[in-house]
Amino acid sequence: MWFVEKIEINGGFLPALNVNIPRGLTCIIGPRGSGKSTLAEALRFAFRGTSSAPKHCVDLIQANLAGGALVTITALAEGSNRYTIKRSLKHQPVLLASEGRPIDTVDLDRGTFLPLDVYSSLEIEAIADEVLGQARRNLLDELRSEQMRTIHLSLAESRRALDANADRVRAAQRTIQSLTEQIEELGDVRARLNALSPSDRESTTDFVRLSRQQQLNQREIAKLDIADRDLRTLSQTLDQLRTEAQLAFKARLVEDQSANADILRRHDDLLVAPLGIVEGHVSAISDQIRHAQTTLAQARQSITPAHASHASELARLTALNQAASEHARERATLEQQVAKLQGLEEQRLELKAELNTLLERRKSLKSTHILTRDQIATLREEVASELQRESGEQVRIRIMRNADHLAYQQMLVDGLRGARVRSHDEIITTLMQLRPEQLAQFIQTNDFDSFEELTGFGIERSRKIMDAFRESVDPLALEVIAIEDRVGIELNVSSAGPPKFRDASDLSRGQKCTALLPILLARRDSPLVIDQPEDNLDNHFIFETVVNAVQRLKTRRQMIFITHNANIPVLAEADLVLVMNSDGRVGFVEKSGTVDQCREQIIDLLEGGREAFQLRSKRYGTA
Amino acid sequence: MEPPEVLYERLRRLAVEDPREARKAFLQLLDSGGSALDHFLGRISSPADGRLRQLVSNALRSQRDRERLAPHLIAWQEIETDEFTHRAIAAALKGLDARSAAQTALAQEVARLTTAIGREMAQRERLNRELEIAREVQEHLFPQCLPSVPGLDYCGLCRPAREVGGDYYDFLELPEGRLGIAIGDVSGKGIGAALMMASLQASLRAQASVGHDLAELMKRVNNLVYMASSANHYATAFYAEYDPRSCQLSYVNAGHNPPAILRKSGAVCRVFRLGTGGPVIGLLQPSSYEQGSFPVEPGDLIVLFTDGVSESMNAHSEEWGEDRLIEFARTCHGAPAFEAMTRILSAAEAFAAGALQHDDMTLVVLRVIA
Repeated sequence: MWFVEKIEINGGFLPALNVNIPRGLTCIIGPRGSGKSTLAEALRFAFRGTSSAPKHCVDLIQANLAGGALVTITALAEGSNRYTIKRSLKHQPVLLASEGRPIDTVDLDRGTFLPLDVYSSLEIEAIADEVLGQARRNLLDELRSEQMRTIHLSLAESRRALDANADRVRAAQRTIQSLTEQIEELGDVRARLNALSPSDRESTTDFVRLSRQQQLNQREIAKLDIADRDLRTLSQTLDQLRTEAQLAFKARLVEDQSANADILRRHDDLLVAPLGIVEGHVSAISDQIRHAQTTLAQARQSITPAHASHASELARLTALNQAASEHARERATLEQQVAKLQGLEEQRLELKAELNTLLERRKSLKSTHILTRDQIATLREEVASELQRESGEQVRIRIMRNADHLAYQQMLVDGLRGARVRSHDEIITTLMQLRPEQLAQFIQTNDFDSFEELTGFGIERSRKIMDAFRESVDPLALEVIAIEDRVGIELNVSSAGPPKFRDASDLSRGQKCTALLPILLARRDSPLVIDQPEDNLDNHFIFETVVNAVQRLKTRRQMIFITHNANIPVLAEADLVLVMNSDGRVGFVEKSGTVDQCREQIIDLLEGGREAFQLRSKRYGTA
Repeated sequence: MEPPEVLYERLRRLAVEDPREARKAFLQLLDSGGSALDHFLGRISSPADGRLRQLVSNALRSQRDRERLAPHLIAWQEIETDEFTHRAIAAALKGLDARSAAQTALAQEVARLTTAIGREMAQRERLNRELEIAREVQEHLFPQCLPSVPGLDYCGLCRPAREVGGDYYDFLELPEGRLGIAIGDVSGKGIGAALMMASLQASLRAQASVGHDLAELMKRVNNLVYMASSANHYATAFYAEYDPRSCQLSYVNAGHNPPAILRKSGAVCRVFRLGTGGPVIGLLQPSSYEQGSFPVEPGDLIVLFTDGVSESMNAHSEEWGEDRLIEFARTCHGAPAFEAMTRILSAAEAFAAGALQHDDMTLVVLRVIA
């Protein structure tokens, strides 16, 4: 928990602004163009710079803080640490500790030091309007950022492993395919060989033996190549491990500016001490790898003369065969082909075994990946129910798992394009009952029967659809295609009788804000700046939903509202009302004070001002 | 047979790794039926188990399968948050539109409870505190308030065993100032028992407001519970309605330990037992019941109990027994209901003398005052 204590702006559109901000609720009111939004954006600018702000906010800052206007904010953090931030468009920001010492280890623009929540009216509307997409999810994910980051890291890792696995699966499948083609090309050489009468020449046995040996020699070389490749991969992995170990053991616990620096420094030293040992082990493994590489090189060297002698012997026999009779030549060729066939078949068998291992491995990679992804939804549900508890009954927030599945749907639509079947939309609707990994399995195993049973498409149609998918959809990509959750934010729009919830995207501008505000309010403890949209709001909802939430939560976090509706300052008891105005050239604070002190301006400037005061005195009267 | 948790974990992983194999494994479970199936279907109600609910919805082969699991499907549909599962459930339910209103109401009630359990489950998944959850469900089912009835002093209490059993009691506020009193005991323990208890409570509450004929009521409750639960799960139940104007206690006893009415005339304390009714709930369909009626008099002490009380055991595996229970209850005649209740419970505990309580103990005591 921390607070904005003071805002000063010198220059630009607000040349002489100097305001102390109380801990509870501050409401900024004033006519259009009096600098209210500039004030809010100046806060965001001071704490966060311009890199993470939406474009319309950056534009506003660049126009209204031009000419070297300096924004100075004083903030009070936990442990009564006071910080001052000075920032202008021209210069690097300066962060000062309470005694005036500059702090240069903090990157303010990352937004983790003194986190501030600022929402412009357009941002609020954008979140409300975005039914699919990341904006609403971010609203939840940010509240579990640490856990989310851990999950995303392991997702990225399993994604890499899956991609690598997919590459090897595809390579194996391609090689098997090409081996099969070669095997088919050779055709029925065995039968043809058997049909030939035996040769009259002695040398054929030698020739057959050497032909076979020739095939085996080639495979020996291939194996050496593979072993070389594997060692290289291993060595790269080890390098990565070395880097990661350095990162992990050299992790610094000490925060230089912190009073606790000395306490932790000793542990830093302890932490880094074993790095030498770890690196020693890693180097030992590296040495072994190099050793193995040398062994391979030696193996290559030792085998070369043998291979060479086989090759020359074979060449000699081939030459002899050339000179032999037609019959013997044919026989020799066939012998050679059979030997080749045998080699290819063995190779294919080995590859198939390798492919099976890869696919088995993939299963567990895939399920880890998908189940990890599921954890995100579970976390979001947790956050949603926390927010729900705080937001009251008029707003409903819920997670619709896997409801943001455009990419998947698009993949199906594209895949179906080549199929000569009718009513694609209907087929897609049925297929969307299946998760990607289910469909991928059908495609991969070419399982018409189960596919037909589940979809009820009929044999002929199922076959056509599956053929089209096998042609154009990569099951390895399909099974782990990203599918996201949808975050439903809904407002009860029925003022009497049973509730009727409608999604925020389907509401008026004012209602959108009403639906989102309780959620924005409840999210965390850091100061909150909200630039409310100018729109008529149903007072019933304002009262029920927003006012209640503001009043309840303003003790938990500081709130700064730019508002156009009197109910918020009057009924939620603003601790400070800032009335802003402008002379057409620059803006200024015309009056500031309590709700009662600014009563006149509230009634003049805001809609429903008089009614709000009446309601307020009625509430006090009965209380 | 593998333990339920192992089966759950296996299917959870298999559903992602190899959906086809997962389907085969579930169909095996479906065909073998029994408590493993019930446990599994009850277990997969948390939001995180959408994949398993989809597996179930997709795996159903025939109309018969779908009808059999319809209550689960309907209940899940109410709470489903997973898009794919939602579609799969809708597809499975498509042909089953002829659902009776009562069945839907029941399913919704089960859904409400399933959601509550699911939410709890999700939070406690890692801790695996299933019994605690069952206990909480059970606690939610006990009456939260006692409607006041002129001339009647009453109260009820359930003391759950360490392993939650299936005891249940309830007081219902009925039209014309009448009071509904229910007590029951569900076979089995844990989540399955808690769910059955929930459906018993839901159906009783739904049916009690409908009419006066208690035999008919119990028959309907039996039908509803029978449909919602699996074979070899059943419950004993006693339901009575007390009318303060006529001082009549009408009741129907579905296989429950007959409650006792103790009446003092002079120095003699007479005991009446309320046994009229029929078979236990949820085991046979159809069952017919008979309604009993008993005119109560001021001073009467009515004691309803579950076998956890009467069969409380001491360290030598000796049972306290209904005779001793009633014998002891005589000494409480004249005391306020709450005092009578606590004294009877203490007596049962004194008899057990520190031996582990093996079943829920539930007592409901009513005293007619002038």
